[in-house]
Amino acid sequence: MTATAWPQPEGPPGRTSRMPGWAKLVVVLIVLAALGWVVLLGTQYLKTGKPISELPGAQIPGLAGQGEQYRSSVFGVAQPLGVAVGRDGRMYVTESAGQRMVRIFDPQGHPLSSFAPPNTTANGRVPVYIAVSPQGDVYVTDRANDALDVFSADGAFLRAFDPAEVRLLRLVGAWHPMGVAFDKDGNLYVTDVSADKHRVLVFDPSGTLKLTFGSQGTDEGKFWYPNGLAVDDRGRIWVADGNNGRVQAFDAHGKFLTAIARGFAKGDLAMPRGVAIDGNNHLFVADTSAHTVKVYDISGDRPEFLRDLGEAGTGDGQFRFPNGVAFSGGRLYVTDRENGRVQTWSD
Amino acid sequence: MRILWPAVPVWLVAVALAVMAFVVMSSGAPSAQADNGPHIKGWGATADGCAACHRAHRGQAEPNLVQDQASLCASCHGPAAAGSSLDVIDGTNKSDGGALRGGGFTNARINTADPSLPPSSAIGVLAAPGLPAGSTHSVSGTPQTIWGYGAINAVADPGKSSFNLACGKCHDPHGDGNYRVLRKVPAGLLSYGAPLPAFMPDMTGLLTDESPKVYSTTNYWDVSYTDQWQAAIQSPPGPVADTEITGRQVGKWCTTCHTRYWASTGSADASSGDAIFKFRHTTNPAGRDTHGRAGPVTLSGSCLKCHAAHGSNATAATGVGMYSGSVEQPDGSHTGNGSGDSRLLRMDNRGICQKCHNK
Ligand code: HEC
Ligand code: HEC
Ligand code: HEC
Ligand code: HEC
Ligand code: HEC
Ligand code: HEC
Repeated sequence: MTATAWPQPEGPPGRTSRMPGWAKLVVVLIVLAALGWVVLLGTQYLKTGKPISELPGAQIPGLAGQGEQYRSSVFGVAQPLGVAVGRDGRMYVTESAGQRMVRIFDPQGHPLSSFAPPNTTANGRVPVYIAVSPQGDVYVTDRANDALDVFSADGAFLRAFDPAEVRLLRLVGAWHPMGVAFDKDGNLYVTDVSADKHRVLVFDPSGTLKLTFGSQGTDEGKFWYPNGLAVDDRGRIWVADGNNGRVQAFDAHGKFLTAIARGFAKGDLAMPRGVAIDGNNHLFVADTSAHTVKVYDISGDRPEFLRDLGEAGTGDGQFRFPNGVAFSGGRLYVTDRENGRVQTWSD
Repeated sequence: MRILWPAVPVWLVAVALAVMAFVVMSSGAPSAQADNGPHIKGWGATADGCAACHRAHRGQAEPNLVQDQASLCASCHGPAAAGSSLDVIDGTNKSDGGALRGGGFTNARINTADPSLPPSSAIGVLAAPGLPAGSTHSVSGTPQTIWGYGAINAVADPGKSSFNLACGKCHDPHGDGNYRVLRKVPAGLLSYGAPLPAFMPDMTGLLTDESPKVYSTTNYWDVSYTDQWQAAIQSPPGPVADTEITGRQVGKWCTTCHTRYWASTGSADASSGDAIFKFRHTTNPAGRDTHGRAGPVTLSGSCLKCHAAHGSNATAATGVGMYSGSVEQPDGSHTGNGSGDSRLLRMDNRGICQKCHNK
């Protein structure tokens, strides 16, 4: 603010303005308020509309070349849990609050449309985990209806996943699907949290149940609320064993191989939920109550901890209860539940 | 003689066999923690579960706890029920589809318009997903007033202000061997080791654990389930000497916070001397009748006969000539047109009164 902006009729020399002190104060206050308003509007804009491609993201200084960096976020999702990426780079996100929709965003982060399990109201569904089949169909578990629904890439409902075996399981109350994943051959992996029967079910591409492994418990190879899962290049199955605070790896026959355990040391887990694997033998684990995504090198027989992505908070690159992760096209997508957004990270 | 078996279609036999195979295949040994989940008393020296909820050096909230508590609990007890079958947000038991006794924090399944009147007075259950909970014991983390906390006071005093209600204030997430891991004395009310104030009920010996655990409810009116709210004769809170405490003591538990809501029989006609809580509906009239009409009605479970513990979908009418939704809070807030707040009641408007009195 320069004083020359104000009309200056004749006045005593040495004074640039005849405005009384209080008036200057008022002007300054108004200007400050206006500035504050502009800043507020700006952040609002950032929070709502900014597409991924236009956001530089908060580069953490000094870390370039040392792994994934926070890039930007997609807002406008209510307590998101699961995330998956379609063949054309579209992103699918499940919501556990508000309208509880599955929202579709284009690769730039613009909202495209949304869909939901058929014949449900907002409070009558809970879409949780999500996976895209090699054909591009979208598989969504609905915790409220013990359902695994299949949608087209555009979100049109195709069918419920209920081959004969699933119908039988349903009959005996033993079908409570939670996490879903596909391997490259199109086999479908599902974690099941039916009372006293926590386990993993594997279906071949025709929908025939070909393998079941695990039971409820805390011993090696057992599960206590298994959540997300992912299959690596070698066919190993990595399962987030939520309440046991670990990620367990199994071979293609369901034989226990190794685990990443719970604890307070670096690389130890707290409450793992979503898992994803990139093309370079990196395993990403969303550690909900630790508010980080942990990265492990799984090229060997034993996973090796590499780094924590993010920390607790509400700022760029910070998480509040991250839950789902997906890796596609060089990008890591993380649902940031309590911050109501999906973050993208990349090298 | 002809063999009869082909009369049974082959497919039926196949299905029957398959079902049997599945029952066998899908049965598993019950887990060790089937009861209290991760909330088990006595973790021992090799405890590892602490890390699920606490960080040693990088905790984000007091005490060394991951961010806000309700979100932590909801990571397992939320609508996704990703770590428990008990979804307290939608008030549903996700393993059997049943309703939960506490109601729900976002949606609840109480049939708040159930027409039954004495002598049955059932309060039914709504099919999932239930209806939005308009009134809750809000655990959002905003400081609030515990209505009625403190001794009887001739000077208007609505309660203890600036209290941060949270799941862990009522429940002990570490497990304490009590019914629903409820704390005998709420956390955060008294400083560590301080003696209980005289106006707070003594919970020694009260609350036992229920085994095996039963979560679903089929009737929200029935709070006489087993003996977790243990019967015992205790010295009463407040100045009134009371010899009638023989019912189940839900009321005592609730009045560890809402101390002045504890009202012995006859309190509707006798002034307590308090400026705000002067005449009070009895909350402990074991075995009393409702003065005529309905015949003997036990108020066992007192507070929970009328209120839900977490959240209720009951509605309270507001607007011209409507009363229920316009009752002000003890500090005088929510006056005028009314907030429509149904005060955790189990029935719409004041339908709950009719469940006993049927006037
Ligand atoms: C890691 C997951 C997890 C977290 C986090 C968690 N719980 Fe639980 N809780 C469970 C499980 C599992 C049970 C056992 C019932 C079941 O099988 O679902 C349970 C049971 C309970 C019960 C019923 C106990 C009984 O005796 O009947 C209460 C009350 C409870 N939890 C409260 C809480 C509160 C309060 C918090 C937050 C401080 C919390 N829980 C956090 C998993 C969790
Ligand atoms: C299910 C989540 C959960 C687990 C598991 C858990 N805690 Fe806690 N802990 C809490 C919460 C929530 C509080 C805060 C309670 C409050 O005051 O509101 C807390 C508080 C505490 C406190 C402060 C004093 C108190 O008792 O309230 C101590 C000490 C503590 N925890 C130790 C432990 C230890 C040791 C373990 C492992 C044996 C453990 N906790 C496991 C959730 C948990
Ligand atoms: C004002 C005290 C209070 C608060 C706050 C509270 N609870 Fe409860 N909770 C209770 C009581 C009392 C019961 C037993 C209700 C009954 O039996 O009717 C209960 C029951 C439960 C149950 C068993 C299921 C049921 O409905 O009976 C779970 C699980 C539970 N609470 C978890 C939580 C979680 C998670 C939170 C925080 C989001 C929470 N509670 C907050 C008092 C409380
Ligand atoms: C840990 C302390 C604590 C305990 C124990 C407790 N309450 Fe509360 N209660 C509060 C606080 C704080 C509020 C005000 C916050 C609010 O309205 O959300 C409140 C509010 C209420 C309300 C008014 C709700 C509204 O919508 O205005 C009712 C009714 C109630 N409590 C009943 C009960 C009953 C019944 C119990 C026993 C099952 C109980 N409380 C146990 C702390 C407690
Ligand atoms: C006979 C039914 C009934 C019983 C039993 C009952 N309440 Fe209430 N309560 C109500 C009604 C009705 C309201 C709404 C306000 C009003 O009309 O006074 C209410 C309101 C409240 C409120 C909100 C603040 C206020 O005064 O409006 C609290 C807190 C509360 N009750 C606590 C309790 C506690 C604690 C107990 C057990 C000691 C209890 N109630 C037992 C019917 C009951
Ligand atoms: C669970 C049953 C029950 C419910 C529900 C109930 N009452 Fe009562 N009510 C009683 C009993 C029992 C008594 C007698 C208490 C005593 O001995 O002092 C009583 C007494 C009364 C009295 C005193 C009558 C007198 O002659 O002294 C009034 C007024 C009253 N109730 C009003 C209500 C209102 C208003 C409601 C709804 C908010 C209500 N009641 C809900 C059981 C109930």
